[in-house]
Amino acid sequence: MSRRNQMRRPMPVAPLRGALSAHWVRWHEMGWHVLFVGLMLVAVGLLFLGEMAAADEFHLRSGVQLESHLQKLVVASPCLVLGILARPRFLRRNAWLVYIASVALLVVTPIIGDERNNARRWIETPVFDLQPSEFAKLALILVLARVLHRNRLTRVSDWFQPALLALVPMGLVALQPDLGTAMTMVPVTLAMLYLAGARGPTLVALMLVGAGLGVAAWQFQLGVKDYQLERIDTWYESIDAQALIDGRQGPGFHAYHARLAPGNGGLLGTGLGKGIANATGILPERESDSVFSVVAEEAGFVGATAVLLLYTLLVLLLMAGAAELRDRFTRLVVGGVATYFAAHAFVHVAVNLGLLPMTGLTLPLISTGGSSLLVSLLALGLAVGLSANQEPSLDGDSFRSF
Amino acid sequence: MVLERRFGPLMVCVVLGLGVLLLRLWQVQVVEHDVWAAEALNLTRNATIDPYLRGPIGDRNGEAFVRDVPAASIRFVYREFRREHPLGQVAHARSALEQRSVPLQEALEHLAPWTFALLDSTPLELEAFERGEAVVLAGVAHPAVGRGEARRRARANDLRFYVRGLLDLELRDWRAIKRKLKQEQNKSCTWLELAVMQATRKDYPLATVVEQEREAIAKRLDTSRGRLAQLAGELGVGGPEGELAVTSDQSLAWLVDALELKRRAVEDAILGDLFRTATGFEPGRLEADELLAYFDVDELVETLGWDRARVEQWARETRAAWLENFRTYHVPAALIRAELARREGALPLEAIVGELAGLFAPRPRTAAERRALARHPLTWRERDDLAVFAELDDLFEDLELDRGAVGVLPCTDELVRAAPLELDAVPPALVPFEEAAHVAATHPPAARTDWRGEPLPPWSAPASPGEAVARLERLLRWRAGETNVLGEVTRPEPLDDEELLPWLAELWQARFQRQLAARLAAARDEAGAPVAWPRPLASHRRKEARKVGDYAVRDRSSRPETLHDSPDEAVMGLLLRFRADYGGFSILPRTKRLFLAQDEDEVPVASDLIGIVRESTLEEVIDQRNQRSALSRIARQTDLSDDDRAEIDALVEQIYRSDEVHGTSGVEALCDEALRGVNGFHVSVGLQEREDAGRAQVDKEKVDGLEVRLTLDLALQKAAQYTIEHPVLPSGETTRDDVWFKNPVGAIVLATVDGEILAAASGPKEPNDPVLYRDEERRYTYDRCFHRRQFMPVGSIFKPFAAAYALDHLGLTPETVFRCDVRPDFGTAGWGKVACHSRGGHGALTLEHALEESCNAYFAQVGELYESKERFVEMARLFGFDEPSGVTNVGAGAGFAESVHVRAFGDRVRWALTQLHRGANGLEVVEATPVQVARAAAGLATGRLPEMRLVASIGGVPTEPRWREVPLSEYSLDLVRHAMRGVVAQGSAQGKGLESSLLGFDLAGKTGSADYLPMSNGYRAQLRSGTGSTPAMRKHTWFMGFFPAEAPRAVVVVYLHDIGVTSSHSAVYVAGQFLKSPAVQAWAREGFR
Repeated sequence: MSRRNQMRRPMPVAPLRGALSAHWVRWHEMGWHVLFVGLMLVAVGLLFLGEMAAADEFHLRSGVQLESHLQKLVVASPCLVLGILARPRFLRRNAWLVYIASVALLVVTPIIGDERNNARRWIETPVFDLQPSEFAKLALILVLARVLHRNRLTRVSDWFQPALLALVPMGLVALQPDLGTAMTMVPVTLAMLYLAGARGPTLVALMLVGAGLGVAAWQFQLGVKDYQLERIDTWYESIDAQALIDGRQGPGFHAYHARLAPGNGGLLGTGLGKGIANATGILPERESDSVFSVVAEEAGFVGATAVLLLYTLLVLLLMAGAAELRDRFTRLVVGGVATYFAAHAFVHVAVNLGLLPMTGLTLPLISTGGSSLLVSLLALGLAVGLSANQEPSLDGDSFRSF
Repeated sequence: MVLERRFGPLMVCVVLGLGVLLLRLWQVQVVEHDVWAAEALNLTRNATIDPYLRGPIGDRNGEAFVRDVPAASIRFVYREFRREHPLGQVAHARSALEQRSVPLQEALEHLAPWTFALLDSTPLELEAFERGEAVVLAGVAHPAVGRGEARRRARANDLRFYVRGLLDLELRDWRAIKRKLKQEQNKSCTWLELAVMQATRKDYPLATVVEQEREAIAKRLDTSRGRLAQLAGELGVGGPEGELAVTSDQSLAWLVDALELKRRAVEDAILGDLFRTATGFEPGRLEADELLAYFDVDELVETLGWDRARVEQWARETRAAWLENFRTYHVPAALIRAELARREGALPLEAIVGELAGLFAPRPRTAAERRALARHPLTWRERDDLAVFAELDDLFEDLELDRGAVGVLPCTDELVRAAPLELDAVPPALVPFEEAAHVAATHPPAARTDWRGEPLPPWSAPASPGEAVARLERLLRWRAGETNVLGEVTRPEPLDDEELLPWLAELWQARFQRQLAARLAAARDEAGAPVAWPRPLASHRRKEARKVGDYAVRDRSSRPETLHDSPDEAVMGLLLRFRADYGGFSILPRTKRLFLAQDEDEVPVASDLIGIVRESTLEEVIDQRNQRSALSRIARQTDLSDDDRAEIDALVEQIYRSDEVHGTSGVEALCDEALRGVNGFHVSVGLQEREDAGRAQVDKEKVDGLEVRLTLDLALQKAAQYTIEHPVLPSGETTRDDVWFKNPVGAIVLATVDGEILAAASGPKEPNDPVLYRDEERRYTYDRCFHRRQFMPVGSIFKPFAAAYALDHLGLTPETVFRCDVRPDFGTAGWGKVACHSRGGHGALTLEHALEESCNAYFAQVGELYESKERFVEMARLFGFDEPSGVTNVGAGAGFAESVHVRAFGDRVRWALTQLHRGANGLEVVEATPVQVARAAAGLATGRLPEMRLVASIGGVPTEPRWREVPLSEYSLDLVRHAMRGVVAQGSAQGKGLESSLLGFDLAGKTGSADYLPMSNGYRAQLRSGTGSTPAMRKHTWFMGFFPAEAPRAVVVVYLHDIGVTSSHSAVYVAGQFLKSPAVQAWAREGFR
């Protein structure tokens, strides 16, 4: 929000006043097909979580509960509508506020958060456990879109602000510690920088430097926690199936079961609810961080490929839709959301297939988990809504497209 | 547009990413599918050992003395019982309803009313309960609770599960009901009505069908109760003292009590798991009072629904069980490991301290730590923390205790750690003697018995620290032994002080407790009043416990327990036939070794020869730990190569089952290797809940042990056994020892001249009180055919051997005459210091007469012919005296104990002429077992000295008869044989019932009576009941014979222990009684085959 605009308009009485409006949404132009694909993925999630819940009930395990997932979906669905109806102008004006709020949440998480598995990432609420890092991703997309919509990154000084904005939540999330979530912010940031005009070679160079630093940190054990090093070591040693099998009783336990399930599924899968993961209940976090393994096991290579294609379709449709947008802020937000889905899905699948070290990351729209569902539906709604929201814009790019 | 706005490259990246993922997915799902599918099967793989049957031991005709019979034990899995059996379902549903642990006994009492109370409740009520509203559910009023009451939800879920179980609904029907409930249909109907509506057509009148269903459920409950009562009745015991139950209700009550005990054990173990997870140490490490005073476990017991009394009971029982385990397993196992380490070269004291320190080492906190420790175990000197103490710093909420362990135990004592632990320099600090009084009061030394079960004086603990150190040093030196010039380790004197080390461990344990109590008390005092005790554990620790809660419940309640270890066929039939009615019960195969052959007194026949078996010792189990873990590792492998399978085979052959038996004595030990079979090993794959999915992966069939057939003949053995147990003294006999005949101790051996032992019986068969004035041998039941536990000279039966050798080598001729005259100094006849039984003397005698009359004076003079001990011993050894009988020349040759050597033949024993005089008469210096005598008799009768055999064949392969020639002329042997026929015809055994007319065959024999001990007046008084003369000495009397005399086929030896009359008045009768027994007569009629 520029200072001039602030001067011209009185401050809204309520913070959300003017935030939502159906007036500007061109319903017939809205990306219903994108929404359909997204909801298809939600349905896939429901189907598999239902089977997990049935298996847990059958085996009298207190694990997955479909009711709980449905409850979270019910809580999260308004976010989809909220996203669709959100006014781009409001978002652009309040992007900073959202960002600051999410950073503040990240700051207080280590203090008031609940510690699980050596990490303090969750804040307990009566409905579900809030994971502020999930919200931080969306806030980062909004704030980057906000600062980049007038910044074409032509000078070196143009890079400072977006880089700082990205590094703060990344750092805070990494400190929780949740390196996996922090790492998903990287592709989102890079993609948005690229969309804003950054030169490809520059970004490639940045990535190479980052990768070099990462390898150095791993090799020389700098700034990486023991459990993270152990995970990386485990991953490195266990890319090969036999090595993973040999180390299955140790730190490779989760990775082993996450890869065993899809491997057991084979080409056509075991059939719904008949996978070893559901039958034994031994795969950790099978309803959230390893949901893809269950899908791949029970639906087989064919079904898993279909799910991946759905994801790809969603991302490509979002990107294609974004490319059509005249408003630069909106375009950056939608592009950011598309990258968010792509990065999340890629990391989730790659982790479960052993291409990346084990990290706890949900599969958006499919996994259970309140924060994840909330944010992914909100992001989907935003992406779909913003594409159809035709508020007049005075962006430079708006003129360019005419 | 896409390209212009820079989305093109991003899209390409997305597609590339998809490509990478698909490639990897293809690799994992298609290329590696077989590997992962096998691994998936592996997850549900279950390895079971199929026990082999140990080979039977039979007589020469194949009649079994002992054999393994397939047996079974009743396995009980509480989880299955809780989920599948109406009693378990009702008890746990009620527990969930009332939030207390409802005992099975109470549930049984209210089985039907509680069932219907639950089934007549409605989903609506259950939902209200779940929401925490005030509601009356199944007759139990529940007040309203806050929204945060998480347990209500879990309890409601449990109740739904048990409703489904009690209604016996298929998953499909249950889901349909739930679906309808979600659609808000029929919520106010009862569960019973819902089930009926789901199962029947709509046009049926609901009320009627509900009533029918109610009746069906009531019938099902009655059946399940009836089946339990039936099982209890078949198991046949009841009451706390194991008395026979009088009514079926009593036995049912007993069974339900037993099941409730199992349930309590399961719940105890669950709380133990939760406590251990939360605290990092076993709850039993703490005295119950301390646990209850300092540790608030309310949150941990929430899922179990326990009250305070139950927690207190758990704390005390857990501590008692832990101490018991510490004393009976951990300490002995640690000391065994220390001893094994010592044998492998570790310093003895270092090894002991290391193992004792290990008993107090903290548990590794993480799996990684555990693995690291397994790879690089810490020595006790490298450890500076102790169990419990290591956790103290963050054990309690907001309270930090000192975790330092320095000085708590000797192993953390700086002085001890600094000192080298040499054998002769035991640091006094190693023995926390200040705890000795406490240990003596709380854990006094146990009563001890010797190998026969005789009480031994109790072990006395050291009285001072100095004595403790000195005794420890002495024990360690003794264990190390002394190495002689041959490199053999010898231990000069026996040392009865093995209890010292467990006592030391007990001191350590007491010291640990005292220090821990002091540390906790100090923390309490320091924290002062604001801190309430007992105190909750730190929140992260409680959280850890919550995380494992469900797993612990499932794991503990799924572990099978043995309910009964030898159910009869009726019980097994019941469990197999009505499997569906016995949820939680199953049959587990095992084997049982049974003595089948019993005599008239129902005492197992030849049990002391056959020997006993025992289960694996702790030492053996520990020694096999590497093989066990190797087997477990290979069996879990995904793909098994041929090498792996071969290794599995090899390991299964090596590893003992926990209940596998080993022969420890007799034939069981001698042929242990052959009798042992090879266990089968099956790896089945399938989920516990999906029995039909199970299929075998590895199938190694069991191989039963080989049959061992003995040379014994069951009928002859029984006859010998009966005779030695029930000897009959003819009423006409005037020289009597009726006391002995009423309380016999002795042995009978019947063997073929080839060395096959047909009967070898000893008496008594059961321990008896000793007879006044006699020795104590009646107390002991052991094999006396192969053993000499007491001084056992052979007496005059040795004379034929001495004579035969003298004839050949010492110039004795049949015509050689020696005199037997009265010696004034003896008051009877005799030679040298040997008295003859003939009061007036036999006068001049030839060899034949001397043998027939068994003249001691004559043979004392024959003894003089030997001139030297060496020559005499050479003669004795020609007939197999002083050497093994040969029975152990089969199998491993180990474990079968046989007395072999003659003490007086030893190099260190010097002989004078008297020993030669006595030796030729079989007195003092010549000792032998009945089997050795039988062997010598066979050698005399045939000129071939056989190796005695007890084992006729192993696995159908006969053992080869072996013998060696007796290097004496046939002429000499014949002379002696002829004289032995004369013994029966007209000599010392004449007229004693051994005539061929009575026996049916000619018997040649020799009587023998050897002085054993001086006769006391009391002993003599016992003999006065008879009218004959009494000898001056107590005797062992013998009869040795072979038959048929003209062509010997068999030998018989009778040995009577500690008797007051000579052989002619005792042993000959017993021999006659045996030889005239129907079994021997039948065998004789069959031509001695």
